[in-house]
Amino acid sequence: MDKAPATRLERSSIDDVIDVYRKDVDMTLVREMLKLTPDQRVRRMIDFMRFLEEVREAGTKAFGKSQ
Amino acid sequence: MTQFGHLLALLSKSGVEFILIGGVAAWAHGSSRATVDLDVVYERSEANLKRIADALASIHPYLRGAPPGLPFRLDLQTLRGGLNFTLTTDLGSLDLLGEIAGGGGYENLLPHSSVMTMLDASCRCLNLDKLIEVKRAAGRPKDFEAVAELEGMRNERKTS
Repeated sequence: MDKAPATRLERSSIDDVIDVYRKDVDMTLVREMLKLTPDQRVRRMIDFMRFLEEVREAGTKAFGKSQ
Repeated sequence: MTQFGHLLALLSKSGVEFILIGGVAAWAHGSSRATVDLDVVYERSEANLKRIADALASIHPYLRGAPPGLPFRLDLQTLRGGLNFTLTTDLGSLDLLGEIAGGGGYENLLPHSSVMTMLDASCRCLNLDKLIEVKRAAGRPKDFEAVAELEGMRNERKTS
C-alpha cells in the first residue's frame, strides 16, 4: 500500500527545531507590538534599526573595526 | 541603512505591482526581528517590468555583493531574462523576487495578500499565514527562528 503524502499536520524535525527557537520568543514584546497598527510597528522597527546603526558606528569609532 | 520608506514609496508611486514579503512584512505583522533589506515579489507582465526598470533607474540598482564595474543594467531586457535579483541601490538593499520557495510568483501570492498603508505608502503585504508558510519553505535557520516568533504572534492573536 502506498504511503499517504505528507501533510502540514504531520510533524517533522523542522517542527522540533522551531519548538527550540520558540522558547526564546519574548511574548511580552510580541504582545506590545500587537497593540500597535502595522504602520506604527514598521516605524518602530525602523527607529530600532537606526539605533542599532548608531550603536555600531559608535562602537567602531570607540574600539575600531575588529570589535 | 536601507531607506525602507523611500524605497516603498518609490515602488508604490511608480505604479509597480508588488507584494511585500520577508522581514518588513513580518514587522507589519508585529515581528521585532532585525532586517536589513526590503523583499518584494513583483508581477512579471511586460508593463510592470518597464515600470520597475524606470522606477529603479534613478537609484542605480547593482548586483549586491558583486565586484564593482560589471556591465549590469536593470533594464527591461535584464528583467525579462532574469527572475530573482538581489540588489544594492542608493536607497539600500532591495530583493526583487519573481518567485519564492513555497509561494510561487505574484499571481500565486496575490490571494494571500492585503493592501496596507505604511510609511506613507500603500502597498500589498503578504498575510501572516502565508508568510509563515514561505518562511518554513525557505528553510534557513534564521527563517525557522522567524517562524517561531510569527507562530507565537498568530497564537496570541487567536487567544486575545
